[in-house]
Amino acid sequence: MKRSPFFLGAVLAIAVAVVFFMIYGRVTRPDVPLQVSATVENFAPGVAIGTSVKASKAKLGDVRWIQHLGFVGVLDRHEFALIRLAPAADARHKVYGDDRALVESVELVSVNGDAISTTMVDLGIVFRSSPKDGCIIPGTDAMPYRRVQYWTTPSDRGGVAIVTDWTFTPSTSTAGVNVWSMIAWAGSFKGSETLLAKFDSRSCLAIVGA
Amino acid sequence: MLGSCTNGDSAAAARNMDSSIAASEAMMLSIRDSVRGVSEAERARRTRDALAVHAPDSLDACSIPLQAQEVARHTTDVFTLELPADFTLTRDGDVDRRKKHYQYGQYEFTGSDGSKVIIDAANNDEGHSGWTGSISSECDLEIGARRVHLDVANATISAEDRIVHAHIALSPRLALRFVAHARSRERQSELLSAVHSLRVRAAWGETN
Repeated sequence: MKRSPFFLGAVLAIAVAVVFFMIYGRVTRPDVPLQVSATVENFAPGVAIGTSVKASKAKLGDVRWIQHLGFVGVLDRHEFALIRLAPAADARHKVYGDDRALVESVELVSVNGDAISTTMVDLGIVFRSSPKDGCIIPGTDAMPYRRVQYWTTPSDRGGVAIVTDWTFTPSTSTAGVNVWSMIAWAGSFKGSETLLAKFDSRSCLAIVGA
Repeated sequence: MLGSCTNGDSAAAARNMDSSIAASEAMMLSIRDSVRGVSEAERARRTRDALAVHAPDSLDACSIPLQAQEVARHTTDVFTLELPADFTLTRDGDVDRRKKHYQYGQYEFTGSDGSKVIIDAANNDEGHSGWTGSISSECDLEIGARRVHLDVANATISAEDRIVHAHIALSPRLALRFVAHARSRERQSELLSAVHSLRVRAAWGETN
């Protein structure tokens, strides 16, 4: 059967359009996945991964530089009291902070235990999946083992983790105090490097038991 | 004997990662302490412990350890430098004869434990001159946009005399020499960190 030139032209045009939009989508895709950027914007309005520290810290109070860690500031929100803006490693280890560096990850620290469950529900909706489980091994006796429940995008372009205490130590023994944090990052999940903590992909239950 | 030259990129990266983890845990502990009302003394003890964790016996010259808890900035005619707060200027460059020739002399700072930092001139080809000791680690890097060769060494085995040496290229003819004699490992770590705060004023080395 002989196909008309019009039919062949239409097929070719559709193929070109498909290829064009695939390339266009990849080129214009934001570096920070929407799930991550929207989460950060929701809990820390004005802060954004992938932008300069200078732009993000304008929305925070009492911002200080801590070598090896990043910029730490006060966040006046119900859920979170403190925020850490971490630049990439080469900027993070400098003696002085450079606020032109780009924010690579954000950690929000909370002392409000009631906010964990609602935050978990929100993240489940945003990522449309259950979290993966891991554990942070403490570096000092004063710190507890900490559970890491984390979500990544399907292609591992970024994610969000909730970090909560698993064991109890003198530093966590006061009733009513429940320090936990949420870490958001862009790029693939690299365990300890992403969380700035000794990460183990096994669950805390498997490592230390209940 | 001069030790072998080690770039130590991977070791430095691992040490930096350890420093980040320690700093992160220190921050979390600080938050917990502030909620629970832990005393300043206990916080200071924890900071010392944290320093000890990521300041192993042999420092990596390529690493940037944590600064001393309190530092003071010293400004002279020719450079600025941040040292632990207990260091005082014990020798001003003005008294040295070389000041006339090179337009700068020797500066010396002394800490409360007898540790010293000496800063003076050196020829560019004398990278390891002015002190003796066994180099445990070396590093070439840039500080304040100037090329710097850094050494970490032990000067003696009978007493605590831990060296931090930096050779800072200024112009084709001149270099600046930083030699620190630290009386403890922790002090050596602080003075290695201090090197990174050294800034040479623009005119030095250009006017003789």
